[in-house]
Amino acid sequence: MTTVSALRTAAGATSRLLEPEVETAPIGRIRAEQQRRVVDLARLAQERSALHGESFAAAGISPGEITSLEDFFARVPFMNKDSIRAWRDRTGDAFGGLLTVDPADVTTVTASSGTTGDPTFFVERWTGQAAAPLPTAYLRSLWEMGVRPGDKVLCSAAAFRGYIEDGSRAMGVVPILVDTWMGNWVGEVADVIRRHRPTYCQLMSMNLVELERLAAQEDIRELMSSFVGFSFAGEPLGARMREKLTREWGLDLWVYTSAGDTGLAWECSEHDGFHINWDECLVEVLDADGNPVPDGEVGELVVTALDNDTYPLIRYRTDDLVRASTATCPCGRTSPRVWVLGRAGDETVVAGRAVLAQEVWAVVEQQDETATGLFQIIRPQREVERLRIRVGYDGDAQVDLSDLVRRLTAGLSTTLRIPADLIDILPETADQLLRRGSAAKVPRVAKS
Amino acid sequence: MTFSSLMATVGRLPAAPLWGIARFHVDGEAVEFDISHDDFARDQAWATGRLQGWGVGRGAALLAIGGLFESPWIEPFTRGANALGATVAHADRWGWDARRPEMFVRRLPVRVVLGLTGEIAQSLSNSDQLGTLERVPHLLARPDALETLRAAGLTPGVFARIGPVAAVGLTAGEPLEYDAAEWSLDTGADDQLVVTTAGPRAAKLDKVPVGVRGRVVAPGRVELLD
Repeated sequence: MTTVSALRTAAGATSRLLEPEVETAPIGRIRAEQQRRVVDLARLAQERSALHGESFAAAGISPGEITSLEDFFARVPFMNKDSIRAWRDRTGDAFGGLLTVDPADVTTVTASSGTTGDPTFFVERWTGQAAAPLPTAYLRSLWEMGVRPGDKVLCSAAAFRGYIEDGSRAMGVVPILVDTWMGNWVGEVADVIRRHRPTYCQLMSMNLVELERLAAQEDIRELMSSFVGFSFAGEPLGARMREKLTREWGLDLWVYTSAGDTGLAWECSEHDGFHINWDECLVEVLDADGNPVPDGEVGELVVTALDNDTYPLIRYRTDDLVRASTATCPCGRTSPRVWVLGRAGDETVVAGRAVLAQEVWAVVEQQDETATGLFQIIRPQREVERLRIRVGYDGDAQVDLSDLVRRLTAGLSTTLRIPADLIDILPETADQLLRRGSAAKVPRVAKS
Repeated sequence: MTFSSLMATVGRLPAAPLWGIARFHVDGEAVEFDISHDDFARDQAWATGRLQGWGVGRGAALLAIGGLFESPWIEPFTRGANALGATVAHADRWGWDARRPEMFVRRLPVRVVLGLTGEIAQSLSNSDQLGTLERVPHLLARPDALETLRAAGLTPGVFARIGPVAAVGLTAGEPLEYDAAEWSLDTGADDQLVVTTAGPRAAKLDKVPVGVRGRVVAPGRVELLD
């Protein structure tokens, strides 16, 4: 029988990737398999999915006419979240016209947080399997991180996407089922870490506040020394906070994000861009006219789910602005990488000046009291005359609010080139601001 | 593709030595207990029996509300529901997540809501949306949600965590069911319930207080007093 320690040693020496034959597949195999999938998917979607059937027909496509990637890119129509909502609202079909199966055949339904409107579904069919597709999509990254069968891991804080721990359990890992939500790290979670020496934990924005509290009380580097890595998800991580987590506290941090609702996009050991599994998602990066942009240029991420025939998102416009590269990563993977620049819909025009959330973030996290980068741009509409920002400060610290507001205003004015008298800073504690969001994120833009 | 490939790959790895390590709390102190894969399978079988009695099957949906750390109490029901052919939806336990469970109940054929919390009940009450829950045949709420739900004219059942034990009842005020083949509950001093392992479980507990007051009316039937 293979012992856990022998497995870790062997894997560390010879198998850094969980599925090297897939993860480092040559481009020729990738394109061939993706073509096979989109040809099957296009036919299936047109024949079984009401929304796709209607949109394909409107585009003049007959079932079976899409026979190549070139056909697919040239002819298949785009969709977005609003297409699904519009179908749902028009027909009453809760699944937005996308399902290719009887609704009774669906295994799990989870939903978006609804930060950009009424929540929309994530639908999966996996009856009889040990885990759902979403948590399974963590495993290649957890393996590269160094998590191995027999390890213990801390469970995630939120369950809105289902039982994520089923995935690590399927990989032979034992989840420690402790409440990792706010208010529980100083004390119980720290005790569990000392007792069980887990190797992995998922973090979200609210955990950063908890880690700050923990670091104020004990040697966090020593406490966390059993971890081979942490994932971070829900929203981008500011540069200053990342520096603190990785350099100051010694955490190996692997950020991941959504691959446009079709799966996950993870950093690898190089921590340079997000890999999108080529066998899970077909990636396009397009300009405003729907034309592909060259590698490295900014465009909108458009995705096709290659691994969810039940609820097929096809040429799904994500509203995410990205740069992408199809070059082989130094980690060895041949899947495309993207660098997320922000959401096009989050752009706010203040007195004629376009402002991106990332620009505000960089200023907010520079101040010690707001280093966790919690903020929210308040705008009733995209174009406004004043920049109003709700900012979350460290409620555990003594904070001179008027001085903090002065420093933030000056920093934003300089960085954004907006007169200081057009900037309103509304400070509140980080806990208060977090409660305006969901488990995964605080919406960076709010109407009020 | 990704899912089938990964399932096949991890299927060749050594199995996890335990299903999980869970905790319950008594007066702020944690009591830890291991759960084996066999433990979980028996818990799922018991939960599946309850779900069958509630009419859960193909074409129905179960909405589970709770944190991941509560999966030892809730996941036997979600896995059981899937095994019966039903669809499972998930939501978190916090008040600010109330939009999600409300939306699921509106849009899916939800036959059972399991674990509705006091925070969500209050949030839905604040937004005048508790009425959405009237359409759910079996609304199993946490004890802290009952008062809010009843005030709105609803007649909830109960889902309770009693130490390591999951207990359920369709009618509040009547004894809750728990799996007496796995756990033995007894009433200790001041009506404080204590739990002892009855089945072949990984965790061996012997008259451990669970921090809940109640009265055992028969093996597998317990009344909560708070």
